[in-house]
Amino acid sequence: MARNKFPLISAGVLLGAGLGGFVDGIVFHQILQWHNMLSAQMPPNDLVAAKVNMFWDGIFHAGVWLLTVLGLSFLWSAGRRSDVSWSGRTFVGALLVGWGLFNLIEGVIDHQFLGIHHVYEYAENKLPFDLAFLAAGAILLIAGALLIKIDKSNVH
Amino acid sequence: MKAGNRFLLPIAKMTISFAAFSSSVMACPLCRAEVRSNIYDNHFTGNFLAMVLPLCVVALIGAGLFHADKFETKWQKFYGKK
Repeated sequence: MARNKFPLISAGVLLGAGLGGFVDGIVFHQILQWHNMLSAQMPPNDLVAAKVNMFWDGIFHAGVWLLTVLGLSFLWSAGRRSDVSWSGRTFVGALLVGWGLFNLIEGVIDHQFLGIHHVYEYAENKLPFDLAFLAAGAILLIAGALLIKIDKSNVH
Repeated sequence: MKAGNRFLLPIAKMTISFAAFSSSVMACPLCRAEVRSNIYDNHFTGNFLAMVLPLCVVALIGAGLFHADKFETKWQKFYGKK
C-alpha cells in the first residue's frame, strides 16, 4: 500500500503554526513587550490604549489556539489511518514548516502589507527587525522542508 | 476526521463567542467605557479581519495539505497518469 505523508504533514504544519503564534504572543507581546497587535495604529502609551491592544492580542491568541486545536484534530485523524506513514522526522519537519509559514505569512500581511504592528515598535528603523522575522521564518521553512525530504519513510 | 470535526466546530464557536463577548474589558472600572468605545468602534470589523486573515491563510494551507493526496490523484487522472 502506498504511504500517504500529507495528513501527518498537515497536522504538523497547523500545530507548528499555532505554537509559533504562541511563541510570538508570549515572547514578543508579553515578555519582551516589543509590540502588540495594533501597536503601530494605537501605541500602548496609556492604560486605555494598552487595554485595547490587550483585547486584540487576546483575539489573536484565540485564533492561534484554534489553529492548534485544528492541528490536534488532524493529528488524531492521521493516527487512526493505516495508510499514513507515521514518522517523527516528518512530523518535526512539518512543525518547523508550520512555524516558518506562520512567521512569513504574518510578517508579510501584518508587518509589511497592513502595517498594524512591527516586530520592534520602539526602534527608529523598524525594517531590520521585520526582515529578521521574515528571514527566521524562511530558515525554519527550509529546514523543515529538508527534514521531510530526507525522511526515508516517505519514499513510496 | 469525522470524530475530530464533531468536537472542533463547537470548540471554535465557543472560543469565538468567548473572545467576542468576554468581560475582560470590564477589569478597569474607571476606563471601562473608554476602552469599550475604542474596541467596538468603526474599525472593529477591519481590525478583526486583520487579526484573523494570516491565521485563515495558514489554516487553508493546512487543510489543503490534508487533502493533498486526493488532489494528486485527480491531477493524475486528469492527465491520464497512474
